[in-house]
Amino acid sequence: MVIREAFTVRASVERVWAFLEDVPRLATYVPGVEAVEETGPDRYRGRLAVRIGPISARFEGVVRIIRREPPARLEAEMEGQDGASASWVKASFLGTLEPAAGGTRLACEIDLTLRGRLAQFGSAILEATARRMIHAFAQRLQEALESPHAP
Amino acid sequence: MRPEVLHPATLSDALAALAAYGEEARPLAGGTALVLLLHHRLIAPRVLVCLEEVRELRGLQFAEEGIQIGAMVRLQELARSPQIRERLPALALACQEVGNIRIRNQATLGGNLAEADYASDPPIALMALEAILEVHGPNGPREIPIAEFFRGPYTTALEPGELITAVRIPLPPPGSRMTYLKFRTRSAEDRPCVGVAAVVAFEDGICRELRIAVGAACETPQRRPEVERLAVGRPLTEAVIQAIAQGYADQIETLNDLRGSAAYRKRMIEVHVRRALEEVRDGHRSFGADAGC
Amino acid sequence: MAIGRSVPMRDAEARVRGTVAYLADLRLPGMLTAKVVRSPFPHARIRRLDPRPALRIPGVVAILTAEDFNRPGAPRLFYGVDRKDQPVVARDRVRYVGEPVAAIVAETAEAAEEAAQAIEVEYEELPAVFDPLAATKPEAPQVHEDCPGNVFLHTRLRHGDLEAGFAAADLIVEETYTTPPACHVALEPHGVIAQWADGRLTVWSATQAPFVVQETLAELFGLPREAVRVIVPPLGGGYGGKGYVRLEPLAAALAWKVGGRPVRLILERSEEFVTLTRHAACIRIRTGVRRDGTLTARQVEVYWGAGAYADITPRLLRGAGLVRVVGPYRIPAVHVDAYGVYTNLPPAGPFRGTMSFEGAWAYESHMDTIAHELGMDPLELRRRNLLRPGDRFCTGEVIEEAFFLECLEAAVRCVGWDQPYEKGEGGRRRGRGLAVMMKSTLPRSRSECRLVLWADGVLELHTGTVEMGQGAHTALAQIAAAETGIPLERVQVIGPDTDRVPYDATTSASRSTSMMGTAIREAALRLKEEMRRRAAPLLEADPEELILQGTGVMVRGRPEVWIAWEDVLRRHGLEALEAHGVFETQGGLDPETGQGIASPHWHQGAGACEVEVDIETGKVRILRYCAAAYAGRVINPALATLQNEGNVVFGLGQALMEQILFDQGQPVNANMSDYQIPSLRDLPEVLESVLLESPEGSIHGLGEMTLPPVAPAIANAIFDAVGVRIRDLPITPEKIWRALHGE
Repeated sequence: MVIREAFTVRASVERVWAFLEDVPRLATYVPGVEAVEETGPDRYRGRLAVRIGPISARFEGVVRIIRREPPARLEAEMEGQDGASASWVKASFLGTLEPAAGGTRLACEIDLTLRGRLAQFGSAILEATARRMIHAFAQRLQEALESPHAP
Repeated sequence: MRPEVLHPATLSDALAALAAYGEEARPLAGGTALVLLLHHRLIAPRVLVCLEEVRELRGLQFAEEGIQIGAMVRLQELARSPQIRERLPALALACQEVGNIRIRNQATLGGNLAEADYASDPPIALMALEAILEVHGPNGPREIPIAEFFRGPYTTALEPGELITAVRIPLPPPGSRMTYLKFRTRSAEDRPCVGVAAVVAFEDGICRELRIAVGAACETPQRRPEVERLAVGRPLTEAVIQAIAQGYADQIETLNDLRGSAAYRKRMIEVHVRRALEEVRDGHRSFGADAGC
Repeated sequence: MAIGRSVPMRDAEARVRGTVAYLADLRLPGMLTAKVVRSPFPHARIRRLDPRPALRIPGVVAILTAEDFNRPGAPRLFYGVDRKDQPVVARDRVRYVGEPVAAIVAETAEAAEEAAQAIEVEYEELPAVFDPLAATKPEAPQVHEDCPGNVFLHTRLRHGDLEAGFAAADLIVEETYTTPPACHVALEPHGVIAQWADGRLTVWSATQAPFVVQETLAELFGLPREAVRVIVPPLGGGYGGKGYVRLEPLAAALAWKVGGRPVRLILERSEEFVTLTRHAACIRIRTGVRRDGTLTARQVEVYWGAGAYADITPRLLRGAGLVRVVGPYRIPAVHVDAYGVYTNLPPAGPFRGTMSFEGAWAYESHMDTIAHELGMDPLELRRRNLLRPGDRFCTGEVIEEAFFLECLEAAVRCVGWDQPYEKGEGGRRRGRGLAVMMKSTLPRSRSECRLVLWADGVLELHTGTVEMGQGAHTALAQIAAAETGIPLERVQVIGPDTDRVPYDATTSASRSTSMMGTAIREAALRLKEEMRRRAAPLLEADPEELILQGTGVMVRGRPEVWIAWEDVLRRHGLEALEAHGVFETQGGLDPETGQGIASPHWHQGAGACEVEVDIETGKVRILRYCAAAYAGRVINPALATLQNEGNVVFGLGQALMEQILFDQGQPVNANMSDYQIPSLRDLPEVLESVLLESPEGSIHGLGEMTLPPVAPAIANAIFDAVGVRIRDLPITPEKIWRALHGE
């Protein structure tokens, strides 16, 4: 499933870009992310806890930045596995930045594939869950970037 | 591992069991949803607290000001109850449309609400009926208006350890007519693609109050009071009905699933809100011959 | 007379009460439980597979991986009908989501389940392809190393001069139709119990093809056929999904690994969706027609998406995949090209109405498009072109029994085709549609049976025909009773059990009542012959003078000289008298030209319906449906009608709702809430069944004939009602709505 979301942040393109590139810090704004560490250039390892309705899953996996065109375009890939539910998630992320009135428009395109037992749960709920996470992420990101104490 | 099943006989025992086991316990009502999750090993609780024998969760009570439905009342009982059919036909219709008789004989109203499946009929009717959920938990009893209950698909305002004990439905205003329309796109036992409940109070042909709830097309059942108000003080003319139907279609964010795309659902909301209002304007929907099936 | 009587199905009450012992009810001493570990990826290299963590779990007895097949004395890893391309468990590479990569045997289901999660498998995902047409493109990922282009078989039918045919046409119509993968949804899932003892393998299996299972297992394990015994309990539905070989190689290999204890493998519902599906088919059909409606040429190109393994598709493509997509029409020039295509989806195989369903969906919808373009009544167009007795089909065969038109006319009668029709105005529009089909049965197959008459007067019918709820054992008992004269209540059906009953090819393709029925008649003749021979000395007469009378033998013209069969046996000191019956058909098509004998006889069915379309929602209501089949001779009217009605209900699901949906190869509706089948409340408001008989008619099967017309008849009625032509199944309300509202 492909999820597209776009939102505007009251910050310059350069600032948003710098924020996006710092994956370990960026990850702290993703709801459910428990730990992210750098394992090599553009390589990260992390853990993500999600609640899909009554079901809890904890994915362990890797994130790779595969392409960057500062300060306009960032592509990344993620892969993770939840042992308890025997499920795999794979996602590709494409973020594009462009100047917009009052700040920067950040458009995300996430192509998400879920495999294994969780995939039986119905795509509508997975989509709703993913969307909710993206919304929450966007909101936290906006708050962080617009806060006067932002780095 | 198979979970251990506890059979408390009283509400306080049930709450105590839930408190004792915390995250490792799940309440078991009719089981039509929970058992599937267990079977697919999507959840693995250590303990199931079976509510079957809890006295306080049973029974229907009818009073002047409203109807109280125990959380463990089966959907089929609501579909068949003469009083519910007489006084709250939208609820009886919604319950009657669920799955098939084997499911309705097993599924309970409390379980149905707590599951919070977005594609379910009874919550939509209860939304239009402005039901109030009575909830007991570690911090005592509280009431949750249904409009504040659903937080997202499969997500509710229930706190850990809390149970729905009853659903209270205030009697609709005098002169009310109501219906529930279920739109299915696949088999006759399918969940709704769109569900619409309408409650309209008339006085001399003028609409005094109008409530429309739409569900299954969106993450939670929805009402749009600002759209509902378009009808107040007016007769339900074609133009008013169309404006309301259009308003609901425009304002509800629809979702995609196997039963229909988001774009299709927008239009189906329009069609079915309109049809529900036409039906209410023209009289109650009658209970068909297959009401018991 | 036992034939023509609506006796109740023999195990009807037991099935309804739940007392039939299905495979899942069998309990053998020391029985172990098996669980399959399946691939989560549609296409991947297995980088590492470590079963050791799973082996440490208490209760785990053994774990089977591809490694085991390298051991001395191990069975072969690969099996398949023509192409032995399918591994019992994956080696190095997986090709669909759900492919077995390992299997666990444990004392309990819980231990097996835990072990399945503990096995460590590392995958390296590879590019995958899911659409059969896309799979044939040069840039498509290759599913099998030895099959570039992913087309593992291309068969052809060439009849007449196609160019001349199209040149003679006034109008050429070309369309493309598709059908999606679907699940059989037998109420009983696939299940097997396997056990090794003294070098012999015994398999209890819910299969439609016990002798095919026997042969395949013997081959895999390098055993003589007799060393494998296959026993089939009553099935809870099959619909083709239990045809050929399914779980048996895996269960037998597990049993082989654990030694003597029986191993039981029963699938969960979700696993049914990745075990066998209907083909994903893409059918291009192009027809030339003269202004008067005479068909001049037809060209059909079919891409049969077979999934990751060829399974039985190659065999189907040499017959069914060619002749079931043309239609029962007299067409001077016909070319068919059938492609068997690999994709990264679960394997596809037989499915009630196999390939006729897909074929009729295309050619019967297409016939209505042609009729519309010509401005001709759809019935009239068919009337002009349907095969009549003595006509030559595109395989070169002369069709002797041809009742296509009679079936169609019987069906349309019930919707009042010749009456003026009111389509309605406003939000709901009505329309009528019809469709007809022809289906081959197996061209070359054999059925054998044995009749055993015991001295106490009981007649045993030993047969390999599988009872799966269709009532086959009841109908066959009726034939045995009728052919021998023994009262029906004294006929017992034994089998299927390969140790006890003689060979039968398979219970599929609606062949059993006809083929096994003929074998029974043959056996009965021999039994009666033997009875006459034995009775002759006792009655002091020549065998030629004797005639059979009831369950006795008498001398012609002298009814007082009579002896009961039981007494014949007793006086010869015989416990029982046996007779063997065989019926075999010969045929087959040339794979390059499609010429030859496609079928010993042709299944014929038609349907007509009246629908109502809600134009605001696209929802269709079937107001009336009539299914008419050519039965030749009806054995049991009640059961025959049930089969015929069952075809329609099954067809409604295929037409309106059934489809396995995959997201990047992952099935996303592999449960009965998300994958919908019709319920009783989805039945047409009026459902009529017509079974045509003819005095000299042979027995025809009825399990499929009226299924393929359902989808095109409904689609044609929708077109009649609202002018919308749906070409991709299933016909969902949203598709109609989108077509109506141009979205």
